[in-house]
Amino acid sequence: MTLTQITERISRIAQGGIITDETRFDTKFVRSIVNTYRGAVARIRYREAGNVHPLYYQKFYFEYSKDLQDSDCYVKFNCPAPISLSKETDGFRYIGTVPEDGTPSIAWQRIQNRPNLSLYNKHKVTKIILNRNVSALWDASHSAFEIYGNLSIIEGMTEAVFANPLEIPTYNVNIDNYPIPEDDISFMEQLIQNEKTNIIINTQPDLLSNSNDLTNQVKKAIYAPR
Amino acid sequence: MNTLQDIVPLEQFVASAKMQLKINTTDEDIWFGKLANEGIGRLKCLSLIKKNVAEFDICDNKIKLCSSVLHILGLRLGTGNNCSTAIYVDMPFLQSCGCTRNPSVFIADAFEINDGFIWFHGDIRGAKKATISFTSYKVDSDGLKQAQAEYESAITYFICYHYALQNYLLIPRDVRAEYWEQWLAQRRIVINSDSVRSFRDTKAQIQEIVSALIIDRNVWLLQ
Repeated sequence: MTLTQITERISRIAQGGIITDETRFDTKFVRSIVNTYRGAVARIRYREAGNVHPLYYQKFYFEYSKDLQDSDCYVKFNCPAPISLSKETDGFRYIGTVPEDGTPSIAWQRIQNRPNLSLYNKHKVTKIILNRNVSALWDASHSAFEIYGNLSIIEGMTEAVFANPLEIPTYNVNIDNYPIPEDDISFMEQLIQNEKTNIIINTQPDLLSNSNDLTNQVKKAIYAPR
Repeated sequence: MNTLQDIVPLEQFVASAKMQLKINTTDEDIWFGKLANEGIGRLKCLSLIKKNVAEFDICDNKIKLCSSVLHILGLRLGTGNNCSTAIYVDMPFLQSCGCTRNPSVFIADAFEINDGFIWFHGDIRGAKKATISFTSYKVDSDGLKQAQAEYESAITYFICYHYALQNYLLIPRDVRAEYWEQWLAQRRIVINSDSVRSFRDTKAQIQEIVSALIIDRNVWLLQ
């Protein structure tokens, strides 16, 4: 099921099965809700089973940009942000080389955070292991990967549960299936209805922009005794 | 030792532990590598130790030893045909009684080992290099320990136990205890099989030595 189909389903369910020009559910608004709740469902599934369905994962291919490089210690690649599957685990499953003919995938070592990088460099054994293999550090503030250990790397790949699947260049919102298993879509819709669309439908909109909250007045006008 | 041994890199033990724990990311790889290196050292098997011969540079009458050196077997000053044998002499002990009269041969080519350095007492006649025979752990080119593939089970359980210790909320206590028991059991198996193999490999030499001690059954030693 594509994202367009999912957003239409959610909008229709909330509005009695039909969508007109006067729908309150803007497409971009519903898409942002779907993205958020997809992450919530993935977290729930991870908490239950310690893993998520492979359909949640998407591939992102790093592109080397000379303008992005700001240090002689590492190679930097931009990468969309993943979701957080648990307190300790983010959504990255694989960071490493691109599999090609005759060359298997080689996963790079993951450095969880910058303090750990400093810690590993203080221990004789971990320093050797760190420096003899390629390592990847996710810089969340810049949404980029820092790759240590080999300054000649110009390509790579990551498989992750991304926070916003639309940011992946290889994802076509009109053609590709939304990265969520079919049996989780109904669970996601249920969550969205309970926490979002039902509240929206039951709240009267303030259609007049006059710095006054008219929602209660509109309600009174509608429900006033005749 | 002439037994064929399949020496594997540290990464194999890490991969084995990750398969056991069902970890499919590389977040713990560096830490697991450290644990594998530590686990190999904890096995304390003879087969993990080998004899090496290497050239070391002499600087300021001393040699810096690498950290994997366990025991010095012999030392030659100089290289090629222009070399001499040096001997280990515990000078502080010899002079502790107040005796300062030392034969020149003791001082000329004597050395001591202290704090990771070999110190030469006397004139080493301008020698710039020394060839040292020593025992050390089997290590790779980066100085990390190596072990046989058959020790994989023991090292795997060692890593699993420490992972379970750190993630005590995720892994039940009885599983953690089982990892520890398995590590101890596998370690015992490794040490015992190593001893049997060592005896089998040197059996012929032991037999020769014992045979040399037996002169004649008919000779009474007390006579």
